Parts: sequence; structure tokens; C-alpha cells
Amino acid sequence: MIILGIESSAHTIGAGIIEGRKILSNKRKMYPISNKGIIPSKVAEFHSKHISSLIRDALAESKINIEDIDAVAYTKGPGIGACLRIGQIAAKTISRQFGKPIFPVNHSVAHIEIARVMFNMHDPLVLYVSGGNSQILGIINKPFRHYHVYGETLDIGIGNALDNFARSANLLPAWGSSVAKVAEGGKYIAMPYNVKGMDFTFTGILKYATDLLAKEKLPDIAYSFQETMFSMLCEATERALFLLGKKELILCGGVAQNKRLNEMLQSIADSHGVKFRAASDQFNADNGAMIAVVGLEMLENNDHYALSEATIDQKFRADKFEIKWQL
Amino acid sequence: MQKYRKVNEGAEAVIYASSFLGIDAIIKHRAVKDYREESLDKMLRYQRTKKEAKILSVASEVVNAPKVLFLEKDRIFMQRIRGENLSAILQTSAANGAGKANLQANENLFAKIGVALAALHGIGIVHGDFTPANILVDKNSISLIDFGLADMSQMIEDKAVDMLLMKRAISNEQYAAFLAAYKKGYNKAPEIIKRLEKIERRGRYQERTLTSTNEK
Repeated sequence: MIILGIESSAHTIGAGIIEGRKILSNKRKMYPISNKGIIPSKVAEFHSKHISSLIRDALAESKINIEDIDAVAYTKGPGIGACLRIGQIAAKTISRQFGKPIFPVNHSVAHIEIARVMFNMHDPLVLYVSGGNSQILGIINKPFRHYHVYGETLDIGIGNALDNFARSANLLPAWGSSVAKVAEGGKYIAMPYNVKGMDFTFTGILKYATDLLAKEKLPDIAYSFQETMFSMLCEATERALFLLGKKELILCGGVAQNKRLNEMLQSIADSHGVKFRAASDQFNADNGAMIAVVGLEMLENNDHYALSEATIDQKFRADKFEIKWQL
Repeated sequence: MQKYRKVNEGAEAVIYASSFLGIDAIIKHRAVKDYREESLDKMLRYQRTKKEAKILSVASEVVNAPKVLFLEKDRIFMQRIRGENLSAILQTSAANGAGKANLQANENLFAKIGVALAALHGIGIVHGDFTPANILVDKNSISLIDFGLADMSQMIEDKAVDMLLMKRAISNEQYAAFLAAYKKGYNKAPEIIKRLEKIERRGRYQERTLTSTNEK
């Protein structure tokens, strides 16, 4: 089975092709980020300009024709409406033109599923950390099978907190890794720490760290800011591991590449005999192959979506997406 | 800590069985977490231990809760309470008839829980993790345990969350008995219940699938 996956939820437009669990091609282009964030309509324009050539490149690299694919999958959400629409239109056009089944996919679940499939795990606890999302999830069968959100940020995503701080500190994009770089060798300063059960908040510490820029050394602030936020994530994750008795742990999403966060989670996993894996960077960045992986699972499960059901949903939460297949 | 018998291990602390001046006791030890910065680790463990001990000593005046016997920086020696865990009782009652009979025999059980929460909230304590796993049931009484996430708070929101956690974990019938007793025991109950309804309607909580961690 060959699946084309199209991803367009934010600043990256991607087209990925998989055959079975093998990735044939995973092409993407990222809208160049300025220091002021992104304007949705400009990004959508960028996506629509590049989508056709990206799909063509992906087909060429896979050495197949568009007629050879068995289905097309696209990101339904969550994401920016104008951007999501570009991927949706491309997928619907291909589906209609070539008579291929179409599958609307949840973006967050795709990040998780590609990692889970690659690591051959069956019941993992997941820490999903990206710009807009910071969630602790696990599969649950009621009322329908889905990734239940056991804990999450109650205000902003950790990636946004890191970006926001980096901009205030005049660091360069990509901001998260700039913070990590400048944090090396910093000394610890106590900062606000806010965990409630398995939920956490980041605006308090963001304000505190930003205000401190005028008074303390940048490496010390950056180190303490990152260290405290990661400790919050780790505490909530460890609590979830205990409560649910999971034996597998996946870290994924844009912030998953951070070395320090990996180290901390590895230490927790080791002390409880839990198998820990972090998704590789190519899948933590937004990409089409992860959408194709979920599309394949839906196809193998004989799911069917009419073109009229191929919608977009800007606020499509992971826990609203039914996992019909076996893990 | 090796001379004590480990009886339970949670994410935050390890529980050991012990005796203290002849009293049946447990020790709650907040052990070092290697993954985090040492100074942050110390601060969190010491602050939380101190706070929990303080809350326990106030709470055990008004409800059945472990009395604090002795306090160290990262350890609380507390009275050991016997009883069966409510979440285990609920699970067996769902699985077989015998457990169900047990639950019915103790028909005031959920009313007793309502009375206890009313008393806690009345003196300005929120439990923070008010689930069946933290309620011990004995023949004629119930006790509240694990005040690790408890706080001194008069916030309506915090109290409503205590209610919500219990509501999610028990049946409608059980909740009705719990609620009636809570209303009777706490004069500010109407405000709390109003907020509870609001939380259930609003954004994240409404969006989040409502499932307690006990089910799967």
C-alpha cells in the first residue's frame, strides 16, 4: 500500500510518501520566519505556491506516478485555518481527480503515531511538546479508542514560552535551540514552579524570567528557565507513569530534540524500568510522512470518508480523533 | 531507610511501614530526584514535606486523617490508618456481586465522604487529589489519606475541582448521596456547586474527555 501524506498546519508545507511502513520520500519547505512571527495569509500563499512541486518531487524521488498511490491523507487540524485549507484542497483534488480514498488526520496524533510505529511500541505514555502543545497522553478505550490527555499546559505551550523568552533576550531563531545553547554552563536561580497533578502552567515563569533579563546574567536565566520548565514536565510525566503503570515512554514534538529534556526523561525511565525513546528530528519537524502513516492505518482499517467529510478543524484536539486500528 | 519495610511507592514519595513510640506508623519519604537540579530538588522536597505536615495536623482535627507523629526535612512519620482503598472496592464491586453487596451494606459511605469534604473545605483545606484512591474504608468509618497535593485555600475554584475529581470517579447515584451530604455540611456549598457546573461547561475541561485514571 502506497500513501501520500500532505501536511500544511503551520509554517511548514510537506508531502511524504510511504509504502507499508517504509518512507519513500518526505519533502518539505518551511516559510522563512521573521522576528515578528507569521502572518497566516502570507504562509498560506507560500504553501499554495509550493505544494504542487513538492508533491511532484516526492513522487519522483519515490519513482512512482500519482496513479500508483492507494490513498491520500492530509492534516485536518489543529493548526492555522488558512494553511490547513491548502493541504485539504490539494488532497481533495487528488482524491477526486484520480479516484483515491481520502483520510483526514489529526496532526498531534500523527507526531505520536509515527514515533510509536517506528519504535514498535503498543501502549506508550507520550509527552508531546511543541510550540502550541504540551500534553501527556496515553491510549484509552472508552468511550471510543483515543489518545486521552492525562495532563497538559493550562496556558501556553512550552515551545511558545521558549520562543517568547528568546525574542525578549534578542536571541536568534530557531529560538528553542538558541535558549538551549546560551543555557550551557548557567547557574541555577530559583523560579516559579507550577504543577497541579498532571497539569502545568508556563506564563508565570515566562514573566519572571523575562523580567530577570535586566538584572541577571543571560546564561543563568536561560539555564534556570529551561531547567525549571523541564522539571515541571518531568514531574507530571513521572506521576502519569506511576498512576497508569505504563512501561513505554515516547517524547515527541518540536521541543523533543532538546538534549537536556531527553537526559531527564531517560533518568526517570531508567529508575522505573521504563523503555524510553525520543522521536527523531525529521519526524518532530512537521512533515507529510507522519500524516501518511496514520492514513495507512486508516486505510488498513477500511475506514471511509466521503469528500464532504474531508473537512478542516483548527482546534482538532488529539483526544477527539478516534483510533480505530489496533496498536 | 533500609531498616524499614517499603509498603508503597508513588511518583513523589516512598511509603515505609514503621512504628513510632509503639504506635503503628508509616513514613512518607520524599526521596531525591536525580533528574533535576539539586537546589530545585531540595526546595521542592522540603517545602512540600513541611506543608503536608502542617495541613495534616490541621485536617486530622476535623476528619479522619493520619496524625503527624514526627517531622524531618524530607520525611513525615504519621499514624497508620487501616482500611480498604475505595478505588479497589469500586473496582471489585463493578466486577462481581459480592463487592456490590459490600458497597450496599455501607450505604452511608458516600454521604460520609461528603461530610468529610465539607469539613475540610469549611476550615480552608483543599485536598488536591480527591479521588477514591485516596479514601480508606473501614467497617463504620472512612479516612482521607495522601495530602501531598493539598493546599490551604479558600478559592472556590480549588474546592470545585475536589468535587469534580470525585464526581468523575463515582456513579450518579453515589454522587447524589455525596453531594447531598456535602451541601448539608458546608454553608458555602451552593457557590462551589455553581463553579463546578461552570468548570464542566468551559473550554479545556469540556473539551477534554472526562475519564478518571481508574478506568481503562
